[in-house]
Amino acid sequence: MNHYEMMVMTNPQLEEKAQNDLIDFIKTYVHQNKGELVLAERWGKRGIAYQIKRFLEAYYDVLYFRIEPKHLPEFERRLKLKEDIIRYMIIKVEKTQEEKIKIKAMAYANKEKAEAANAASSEPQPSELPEKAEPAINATEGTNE
Amino acid sequence: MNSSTKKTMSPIPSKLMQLRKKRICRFCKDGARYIDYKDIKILSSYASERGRIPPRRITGNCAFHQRRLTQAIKRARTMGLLSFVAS
Repeated sequence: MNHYEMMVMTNPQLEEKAQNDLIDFIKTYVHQNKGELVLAERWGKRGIAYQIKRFLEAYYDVLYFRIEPKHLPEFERRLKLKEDIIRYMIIKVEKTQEEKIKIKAMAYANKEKAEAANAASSEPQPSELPEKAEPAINATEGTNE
Repeated sequence: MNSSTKKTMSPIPSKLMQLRKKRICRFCKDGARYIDYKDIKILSSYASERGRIPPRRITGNCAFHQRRLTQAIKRARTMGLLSFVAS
């Protein structure tokens, strides 16, 4: 299993539903082939530095996942069939970066949990939040060494 | 005439050389191994007005980080984060 990073640019004229479907398509492909999604970042709509396929802006998404490399050619073939994907790039993540991404993913998960806790109850348990924040800080110190 | 000019000319380049040698690679200083293509702030600070990648003798980077930098800038260009040519 290799760790990959993928950046996708999608059609800016798409509705949110269609946009989410495209990203879900990528996620399901990874899951179907015994891969593991580490982190999905949503950049949202932003301008492109130059015209690509007559578009001057695009939805940007960055996905980090682990998958067997033998599944990638088929994955790319399917991506090319999607007309709403303006451009994509899959890069192998360097080993020094893998931990950083894991920490990022942890931070994201903690944020989501905290938000969910806030939404569920107006009085979130204060003891939980600092406990979760601490391991992330310790982990960042570990990578610097 | 010739001997006097030679004497005055010779110390200046050596001083310049000494000054130039002090320049340190910015990424070595920060202890960075990987230069991220998504980090446009750093990358665009290196691209010239025309959007070109300056050579090592101007950036002062070490060979390792210059290679990484060019790779990152080129990746950013293909993904439309940086321009190939100045607008």
